[in-house]
Amino acid sequence: MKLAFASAALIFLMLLSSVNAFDVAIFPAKQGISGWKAECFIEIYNNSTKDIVCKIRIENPSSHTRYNESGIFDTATNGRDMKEFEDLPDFSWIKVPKKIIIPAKNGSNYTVSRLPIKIDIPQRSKYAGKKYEVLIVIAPETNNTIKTTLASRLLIETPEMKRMPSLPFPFLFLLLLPLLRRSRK
Amino acid sequence: MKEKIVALAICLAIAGVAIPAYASETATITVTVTPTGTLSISVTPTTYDFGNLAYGSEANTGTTGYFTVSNDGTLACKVQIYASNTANWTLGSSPGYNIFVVNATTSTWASAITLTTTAQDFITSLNPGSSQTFDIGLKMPTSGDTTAQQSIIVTLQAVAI
Repeated sequence: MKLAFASAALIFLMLLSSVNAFDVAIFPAKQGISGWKAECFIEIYNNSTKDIVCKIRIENPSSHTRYNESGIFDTATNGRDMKEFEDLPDFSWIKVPKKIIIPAKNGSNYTVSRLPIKIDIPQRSKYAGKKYEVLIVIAPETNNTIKTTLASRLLIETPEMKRMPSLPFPFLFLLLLPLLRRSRK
Repeated sequence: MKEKIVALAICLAIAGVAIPAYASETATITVTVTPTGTLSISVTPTTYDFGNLAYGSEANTGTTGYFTVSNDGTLACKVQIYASNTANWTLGSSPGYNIFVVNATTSTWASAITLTTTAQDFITSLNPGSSQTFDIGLKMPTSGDTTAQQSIIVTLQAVAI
């Protein structure tokens, strides 16, 4: 019995020590979404004793300057870490609140607010079978001159569209030929 | 006799194709897992006062790492950096009339990057629980139309890698 209690206490202490001290954190930092329409969320944690107001904005990764591991500007990826993904053509496809308030922590427990995100991509063939990456940037408002923001990656994959098989002209002509002959008779 | 041999050979060949071999068959399953965690960074201190500086002069926070950015989350991240215009000055790549320059470095000023108003990679990887020191430099406009105090906001942005 004593051994079990000691083990439980040890596990609890290990869990506590594994948690880093933070003021604001987000979850998830990266999420994959498949389909034309989707609803998802980002959880924002407040571990401070003050209410936090976060401004939300959408950014395409290509608006950033990316450096490779040698510290040289990486023109090949044009700002994207996820090379197989391209920029979202239209930010209006994503509906996200422009501002969210996360209440101060309750005693020793951090508080959580959910940032709802709605994705609605027009179902057109030119957007089918695409991989889009977009960043949802969460910027806590502070009076500091050195600020921090957190960016969550949305990786959106649109489904392929089934195309109608196109009939070649000679084949269509052969199909219509009997009808044309009958009409002549 | 020859025909019989040929017929037998054909039968054996067909049987060889038709009878499935069950020996050494392997079954595999694919197990996938996507690690998730929290993204969080902090920076200390959160302000710096360059004091009174003449137009055309330069200053920096030193070379020993005045600021420290820490990864307080449970995921490795890269840290990007960008700066803002001030009330009267525009951020640029070289000083000019009402144009100022902000640099940042994690090591020497020779390897400093010039900040822009859009995010650029600053620290390529910062593991959970670890931190990185950095310094900021300022090149004042060559000349300007104000003597009012200007506030420059420098932002560090965490992006999961």
